[in-house]
Amino acid sequence: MSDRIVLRSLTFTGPDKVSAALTFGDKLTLIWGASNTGKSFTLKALDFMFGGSKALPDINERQGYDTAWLALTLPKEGDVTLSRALSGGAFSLHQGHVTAPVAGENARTLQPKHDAVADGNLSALLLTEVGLRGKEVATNAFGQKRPLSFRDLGLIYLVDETSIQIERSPIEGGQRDARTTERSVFRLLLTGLDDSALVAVEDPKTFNAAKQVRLEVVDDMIAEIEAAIEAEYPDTEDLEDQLNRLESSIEGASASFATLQTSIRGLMAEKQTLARAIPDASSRLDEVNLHIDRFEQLQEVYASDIDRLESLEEAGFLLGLSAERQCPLCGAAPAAQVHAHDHQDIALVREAALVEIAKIRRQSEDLASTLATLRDEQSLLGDELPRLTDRLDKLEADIADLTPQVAQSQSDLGQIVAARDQARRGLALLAQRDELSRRRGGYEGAKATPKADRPVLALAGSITHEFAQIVSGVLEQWGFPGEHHVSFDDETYDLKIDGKARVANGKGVRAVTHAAFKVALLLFCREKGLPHPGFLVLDTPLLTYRDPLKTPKFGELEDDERALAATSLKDRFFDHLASLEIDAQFVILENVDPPTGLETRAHLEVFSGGDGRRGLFPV
Amino acid sequence: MSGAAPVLFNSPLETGVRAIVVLNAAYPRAFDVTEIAWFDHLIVHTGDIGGPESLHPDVPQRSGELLVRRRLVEDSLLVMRRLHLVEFVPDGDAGLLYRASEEAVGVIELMRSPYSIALRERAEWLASNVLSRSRPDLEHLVAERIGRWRIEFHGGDYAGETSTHV
Repeated sequence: MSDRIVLRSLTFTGPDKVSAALTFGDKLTLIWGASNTGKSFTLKALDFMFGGSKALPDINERQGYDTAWLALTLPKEGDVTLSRALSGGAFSLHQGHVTAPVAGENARTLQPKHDAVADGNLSALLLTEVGLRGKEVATNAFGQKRPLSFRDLGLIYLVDETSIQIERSPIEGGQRDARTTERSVFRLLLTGLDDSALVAVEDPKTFNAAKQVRLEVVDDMIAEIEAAIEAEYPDTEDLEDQLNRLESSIEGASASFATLQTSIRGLMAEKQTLARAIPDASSRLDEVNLHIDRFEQLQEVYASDIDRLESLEEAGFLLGLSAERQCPLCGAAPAAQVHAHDHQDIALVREAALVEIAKIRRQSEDLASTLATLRDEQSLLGDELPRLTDRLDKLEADIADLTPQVAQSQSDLGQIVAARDQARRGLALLAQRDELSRRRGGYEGAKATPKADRPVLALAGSITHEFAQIVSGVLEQWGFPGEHHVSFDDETYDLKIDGKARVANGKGVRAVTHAAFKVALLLFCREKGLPHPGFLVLDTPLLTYRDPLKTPKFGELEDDERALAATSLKDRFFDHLASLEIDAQFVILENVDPPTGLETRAHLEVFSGGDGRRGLFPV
Repeated sequence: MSGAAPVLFNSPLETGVRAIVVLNAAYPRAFDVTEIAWFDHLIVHTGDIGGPESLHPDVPQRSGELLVRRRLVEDSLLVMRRLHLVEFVPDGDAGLLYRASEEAVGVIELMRSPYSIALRERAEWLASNVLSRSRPDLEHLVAERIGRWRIEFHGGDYAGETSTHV
């Protein structure tokens, strides 16, 4: 069983309208209808129900109908019905075969427009069903790709009366820029391989436009840089040397600035030290002077004390003598005691005075040495203070001298650094310019990918040959005149039959051979087990049997058409399709008389235009 | 600076020596304790009253000084009397007066130390310039030169202040 879509019925409904329904047989369906009975409308309606965006023809017969229902059997979803308002828009997907919304059913909404990523659209659903979801097709010779849409298969399963006899490849819709895509679709069907592995190359037009833009951008940049260079660097030749010179002068200037800074810092530090030392020394000198004054006074006190003590000792001695001399004069015992007491006192005083003198002398000597030390310090300080003050004055003068030098040195250094930076910038600009020029050369020399390097979008000869053989077989089955030597032309993606290009035949012959092409494609895919929607709707394949009086729009028959019409091809065409034992469904829209007994082998729908069913819509 | 005991400076002996040097220079005049206490101050502060350079540094007088000095002078006069270097001269008008004895002369003439000589010189100066004045004059001089003595003396405000060894 191949995955295929089976058409079951197409029904039109409207409020207060009798439904107009069309059913399809399992394999072969012939919708036979006179002119203007709704054959073409049927085909357009099928296209519309498979996601076509073209509005339905506004024929009178469909007035009052508002919804179309297409019943299908799908390999995965099973029996479903697609419904869509005749005015267009989204589809609803119903379970089972219905012609009215089922109460309580939550119909899925499917958008008519293909979306490769999302699921909520008809195209993705149907591609999934036939095994073509996620395939990619090349859209141009440069290998650019896009995801396949179910609409891309339109020509494969639906052929209207114009396409079937037109002078071009059966797989092309006539839009020039769609041709590559259409051929990619055909290749996909014949091989089962899509173009997802292709690596795209830039097409020359885009490439050249981009190249132009790149060149313009790079030229603008170069111009900008050159303007900057011209404005700021009159002589670019010397820049490198200038930079080297400036770098070495920076070293010198930095060194001298550092030296100056160091020396001024040293002076400042010394000044600070002095600023503390001078008041220290001067207050120490005050202190020393004060001590000296006090100690000198003390020395005087010591000296006067010694004098007094000497005088006292002397008086004591003299009085002692006189007292001894006076001794006999004092008779009374208490008086003698008093004498004795006084003498003792005087002797004690004399001794003590001598001891005291010695003591004071020692103290005086100590004091004298302390004083000497103080006087040394006094003279040292006295010498040092003016020296310190002079040094401070000199320091302040030196600092005052140095300060502008430091400032000058700093500003010199700053200027050299600025000049160095300017030179560096100039060199950077030159380097930028050179790099941009180099790139420009690269851009200019760049060439679009040569034809030889474009991705190969071709069919292998062996495959097209095989396909051509199947077409040949179909033509043989149909009893098409000639040898049935069929070959595939890679240039036109069309057939040559017995050495003659297919399109070089008359309308009727083109219609038959187009039909053979599409039937053979379905057979080929089934034989190879490749994906195919599995149904084929052909409008007027047997054009060659037309009655020019009834269908004046196709004109008189040509010679080859007449020859064909003279054969039994019509009957054999239906016989062949009815006899095919493959998973495929054929729907033929025709107004030629079907072969007798076809109704036993195929499903017939007749739009008589008169008695019975007059047309698609009941009138 | 001096030892605690025995007292040397302003001891009864030293004060006594000053007293006999002054009394000797003023001989044959006699003076009471108050006057002798004044002289005891003046002899070492002659610079203050237009005399020779003061023997002692000039430190401000303190209240109570006089009382201490007076007491000291009394003690020293007692010792000098025992040594027969001073003699009492009772006087109906002036009360108890003191005068240098005959023996004081010999002793004083033997004193050769520089300070003793300086003391004798000042005593001579005092004798010829100050001591010849009348008692009111002396009082006035002392009140003027030694300010608060008199007030302290008469006011009897005996705040217990220690003396310096001046």
